[in-house]
Amino acid sequence: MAMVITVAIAVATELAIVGAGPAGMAAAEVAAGHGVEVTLVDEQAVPGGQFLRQPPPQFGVSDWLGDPVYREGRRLLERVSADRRLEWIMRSSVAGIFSNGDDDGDEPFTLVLNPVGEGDSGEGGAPRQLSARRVLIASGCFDLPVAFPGWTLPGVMAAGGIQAFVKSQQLVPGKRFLFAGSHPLQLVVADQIVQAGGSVAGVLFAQSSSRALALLKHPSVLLGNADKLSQTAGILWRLRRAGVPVRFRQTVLSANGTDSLESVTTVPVGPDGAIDSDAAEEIECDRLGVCFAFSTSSELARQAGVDCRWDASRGGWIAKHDDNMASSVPGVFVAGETTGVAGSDIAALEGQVAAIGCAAELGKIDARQAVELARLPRRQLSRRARFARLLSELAWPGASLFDQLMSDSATLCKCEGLTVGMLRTQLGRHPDIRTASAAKLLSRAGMGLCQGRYCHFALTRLMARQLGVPEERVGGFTSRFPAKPVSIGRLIGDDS
Amino acid sequence: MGRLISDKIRRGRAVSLSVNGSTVTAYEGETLAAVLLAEEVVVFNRTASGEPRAPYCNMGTCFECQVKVAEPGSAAFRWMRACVTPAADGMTIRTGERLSAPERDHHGNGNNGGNSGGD
Ligand SMILES: Cc1cc2nc3c(=O)[nH]c(=O)nc-3n(C[C@H](O)[C@H](O)[C@H](O)COP(=O)(O)OP(=O)(O)OC[C@H]3O[C@@H](n4cnc5c(N)ncnc54)[C@H](O)[C@@H]3O)c2cc1C
Ligand code: FES
Repeated sequence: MAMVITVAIAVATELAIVGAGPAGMAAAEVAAGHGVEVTLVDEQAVPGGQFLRQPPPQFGVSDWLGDPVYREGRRLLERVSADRRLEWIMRSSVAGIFSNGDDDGDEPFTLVLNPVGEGDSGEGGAPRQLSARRVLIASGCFDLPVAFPGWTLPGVMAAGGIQAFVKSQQLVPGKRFLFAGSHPLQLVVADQIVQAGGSVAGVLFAQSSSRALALLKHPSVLLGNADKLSQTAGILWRLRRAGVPVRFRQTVLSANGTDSLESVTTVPVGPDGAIDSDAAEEIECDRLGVCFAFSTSSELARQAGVDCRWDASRGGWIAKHDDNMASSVPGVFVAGETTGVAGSDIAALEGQVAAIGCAAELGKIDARQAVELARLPRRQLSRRARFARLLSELAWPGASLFDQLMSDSATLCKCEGLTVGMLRTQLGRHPDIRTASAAKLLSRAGMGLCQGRYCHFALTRLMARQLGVPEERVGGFTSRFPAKPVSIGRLIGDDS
Repeated sequence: MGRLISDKIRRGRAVSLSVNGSTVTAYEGETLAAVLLAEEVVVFNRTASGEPRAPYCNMGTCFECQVKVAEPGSAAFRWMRACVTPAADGMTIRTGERLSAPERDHHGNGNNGGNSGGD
């Protein structure tokens, strides 16, 4: 990772790529190949994104992500890491993207970068600026937070977060694990825990076995380019050998414990999708991995003015785009999970198409070349994207499951200490409150440090149901600058 | 509640930190979240109303893993996200501290990074 540097001054570039995951890396490689000057910005210390969470540079891990699933991704990572044409700005969060007004200017966009981690949670050091002629937003996604009683108790974690401890920190974060959800990733993580010597009490899928198995026949689509069946078969075999039960039509009702997780109450999910609280069971564990779905990191796109639409099973607010991955804002492109959660393969293909579009707009290639170059990735994309959509639907447990888990005592906004019941009461008293943004002002939901990332889904769902309107109508929290926390002192540069 | 994997791994240089008054050995490249979990720390912080909190996302987005950290040679403690903060020799960490009540707007949109400050 010799090329990873931190730039300390204002810089300019032709193409600024936000996010060095599979989408951003694939785009960088293609764009640089056509002579575009590229700068990648990522808040992590090393590139790779979520799929390829690397161990820190100080670690030597001899067979890191040795599984063939990761082969192509690792090669891409190795190539871009060694690519001397690329500029990197790591450990920097993009807090906002601003248009400088006149599109004919040399650098129509300014990105405000907020250095990560040298200080408190509001980050450290003064913000920096990067100006760019084109911007690609490839900001990925995060595990969908699901509100149920006890979900904020120490010991309850996003399954992807558990995986990152294993993959990148080489830590098994618990003694006895339970996984509950509907996404195939939970099987992968359970397997990684077992292989690292951890104990797994079970993996619960909310779907029926036929639905889940239809999904698990094609894990490669949602989970990277694994070779067909071999991966799931291998995982199921290893889990079985380790005595880990994989159960269907079961889910989490609550996480229990005083200061940390002691047990999880599980319930059957009937064929009609209704949970049966009378048949609840209790499973002892000190770590619960929650793994239903992913939520797009769409704040930056929305802050930049990019048109989004709501698609619950594909990540909530997803950025709209044309065939070239150009967004509704001229000069701003989008790729990867930002455009709908579909896995690393599709993310990388979208990155390639976006890079070709940028190269054409920047005059590095002509329109005919662009069409020619984009033909193959586009064809691969359309085939896989259709399939991925189908699988996302199979992986989606249905919003009504979340409605049932969201009982009144469940925390809704963890930052402001607001429960589902409190919000329901407030909304009942104020029938005129009909949008997420208005509910935010009323209840303070979404005003904390996570900036609504961890309550917006539950709040949107709750309001849509209570008001009897589609989620689109409830709308998102208005996403304004900064898309990530930064204190006012730092913005005006007087922070000491 | 955590165990470090030792198979096929070489960690970074050993560093020494203070966690709630005890000296702890960690390895360069580890995040504070990994160090604390390996040390069996359960409650990373408490909300203003006293609820216990610990890492949820492990990718920097949820802010549940905040702990109070003083840089080497400094006595000023600041809230930092343990999952994105690398362990450094001489750091002092306090866990289980109470967050202040949610702060009111700094700059108009309710988002603030100011849940910080000294002690
Ligand atoms: C925790 C987790 C674990 C996952 N594990 C797997 C897995 O094992 N297999 C699999 O196939 N898929 C997995 N996924 C799905 C994963 O999203 C895709 O496979 C793939 O990584 C998507 O690529 P991407 O480039 O779109 O986004 P990502 O890989 O998520 O990359 C986005 C990058 O953007 C950066 N970023 C975001 N916002 C900003 C900002 N404002 N400023 C600066 N940088 C920013 C992030 O730090 C990140 O590095 C996982 C997802 C998550 C959230
Ligand atoms: S665990 Fe979510 S920010 Fe650290």
